[in-house]
Amino acid sequence: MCASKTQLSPSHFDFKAMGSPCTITVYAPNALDAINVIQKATVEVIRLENKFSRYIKNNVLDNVNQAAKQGSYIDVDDEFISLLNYADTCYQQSNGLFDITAGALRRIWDFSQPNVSLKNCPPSNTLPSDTDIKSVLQHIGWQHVKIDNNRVHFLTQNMALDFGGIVKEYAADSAANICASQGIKHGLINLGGDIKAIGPHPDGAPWKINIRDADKPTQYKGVIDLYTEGLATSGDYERFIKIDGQRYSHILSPKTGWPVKGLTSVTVKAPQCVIAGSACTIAMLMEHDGIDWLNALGVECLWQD
Amino acid sequence: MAAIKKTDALKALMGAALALPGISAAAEQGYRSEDIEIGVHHSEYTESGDRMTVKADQISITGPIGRDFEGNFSAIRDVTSGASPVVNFLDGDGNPHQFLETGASIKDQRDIYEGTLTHYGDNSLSSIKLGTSEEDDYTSDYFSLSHRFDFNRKLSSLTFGYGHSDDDVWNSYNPSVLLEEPSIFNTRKKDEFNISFGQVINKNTTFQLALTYVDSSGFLSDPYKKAFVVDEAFFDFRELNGYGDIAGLFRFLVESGIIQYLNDSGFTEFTNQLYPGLIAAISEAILGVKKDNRPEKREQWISLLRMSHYFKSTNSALHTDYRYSDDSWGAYSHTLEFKWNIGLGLGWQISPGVRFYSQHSAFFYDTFFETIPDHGYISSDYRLAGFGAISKKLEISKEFGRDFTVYLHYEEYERQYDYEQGGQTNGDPLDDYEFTAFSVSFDVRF
Repeated sequence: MCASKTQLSPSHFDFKAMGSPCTITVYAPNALDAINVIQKATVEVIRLENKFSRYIKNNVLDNVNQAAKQGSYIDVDDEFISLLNYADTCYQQSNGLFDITAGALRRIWDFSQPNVSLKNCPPSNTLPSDTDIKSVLQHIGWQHVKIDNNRVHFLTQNMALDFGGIVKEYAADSAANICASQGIKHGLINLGGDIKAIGPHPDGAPWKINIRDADKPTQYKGVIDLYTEGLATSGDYERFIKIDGQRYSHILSPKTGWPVKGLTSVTVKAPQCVIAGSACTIAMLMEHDGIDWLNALGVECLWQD
Repeated sequence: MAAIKKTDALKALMGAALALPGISAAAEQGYRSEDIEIGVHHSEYTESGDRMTVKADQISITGPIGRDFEGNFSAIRDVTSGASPVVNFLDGDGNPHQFLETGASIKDQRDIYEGTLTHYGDNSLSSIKLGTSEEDDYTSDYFSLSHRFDFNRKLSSLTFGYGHSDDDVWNSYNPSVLLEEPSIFNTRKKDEFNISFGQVINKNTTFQLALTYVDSSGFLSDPYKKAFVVDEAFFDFRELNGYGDIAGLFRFLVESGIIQYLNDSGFTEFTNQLYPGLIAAISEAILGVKKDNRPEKREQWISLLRMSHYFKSTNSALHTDYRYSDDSWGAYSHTLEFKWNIGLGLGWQISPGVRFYSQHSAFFYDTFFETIPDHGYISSDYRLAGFGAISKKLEISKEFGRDFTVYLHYEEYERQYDYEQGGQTNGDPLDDYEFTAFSVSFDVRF
């Protein structure tokens, strides 16, 4: 038993998906097994990206958002429904702050270029007007979405769904589970900071995850140990816009239509990465109450305000 | 890290996350439960012909202990009442008839307490179980160990098991019952060795082969059962050609309520207390009613072959078991069982099943004996007869949310002496019976 453990060697695979650098690390008995399992896990990540990315035309999410724009209905598969059910749970648990219909705000706030500055991206250098925000807010609200078996109804026009804080995290969990189902007991999935451990290192030592300082990206503000848990960070240094020297978070409140204030970044550790991802997003949306909410939730977290 | 106490909000998120297909698929593959699970089970079972009724209640609790361990504790109480066959008497035509003990004699409560500790290793699963079972006339203390190794990338597994039990057996002497013997006290023990190999053949098919050796020794007879031996009786009642019918006489005494009256009025008790064992001694000397007497050692070799196949098109799984049990007592048996689990969606599952059983009679079994055989062992216990049985089962379960599941279980069992396969051995239609069993149970997760 022990002998077989020492024979395991780590294999890494770096790729780009979901707009982020991704790494899959697995300990496998041999290189062929490692390649096989990494390939399967990567295919899963790409599958979810193709299905749910906001930047891909004519994918499942785009079709749904067409229906959302028209205020009609559309039939979706079980996976889509279970993600909507998960989003519904987040909506209930956050008193409506976590709302995937806030996607409509993306039309007036553009964060598609990470860390844009004034000269690179002129369209972002002005804030949207109050009128713009007010008109978009009318098309936001999870209560305007009804699910009937596998059919999603949008009760008002110009809606849009955005699975930020859910899908990339879910992809990390799903990829980790695919590795586990292939017999991998030790490994880590990292999709641009959304992390799920398949299992600790073969010697039982946890994965040490260094959490970057949001203000000084070259420095670390802490370390979190992972055995089988998931980890996600919201409001990190990579995605924000600066206008007139003011930094605006990419997390938008569905209530005000404005980027949230209060916390610069939150990192959460939870049994699944998808839970960590939605919990840190909810904490950001709760602004100054976010940390109390996380403490009450009973998860380990690191934060900066 | 200290264990995290799960809040309702976290539980809600966990529940919704575990419903996601990419997460639930692997979460079902043998991960240790992080929840505390409580199961409650009630079952009832009634045999045909005013024989046994059993009511059983079980409660069990399972929960995680630390990172790698899981603990389980179960408490079971069952209450058996009714009548069980004691001895077969011959009628004037030489045909055996069953004499059932009257209701008062059998009202037995059994309490079982069992604890199991399981360790979930990287490529192994180990468990240790300790238990005790107590009845009015029986106690059993037992333990078992098992260890499973997974190898070949978890596609294969090998399990080794050992179990041991130490039992004390006596009869809960009830002087108000006619044919009871004064108290006896004896012990028996049992050792069980098991080895099992499991193989995942492909995504949809698994296979298991298990071999078990059971070695029992000590007092293995049944202190309540008797056998009728013609030679030992004062007189061969068959010679009366139907005029003297001992079976008819006993049937008359039972049906007219005379035995019940003797027992209830205190006459039986008075006689038994004045002359302990007198009635039993008289019945032995005059009627030829001898005590059940079995060998003090029994060895069984049981082999099991199990195949499970999942049918994606119907979302169902078919389990097929074949078991052959070889027995130094000669009561070897074949069992063939099919169970089909069908998922109907919305949390409903329906599982029809059927089991065929065939048993050869033990070498010292007969419905009655002309004379005591040279080896000296005799038994007329219907469980050692040659017979066959068919049992039809139906189980329906429904999940309500993720935390609550209800199970209904129904079984119809029919035993016939001539269902035995491969030639009839000692057995008789008088031991045929049927029963139906119904049980309801539910599991709750916290």
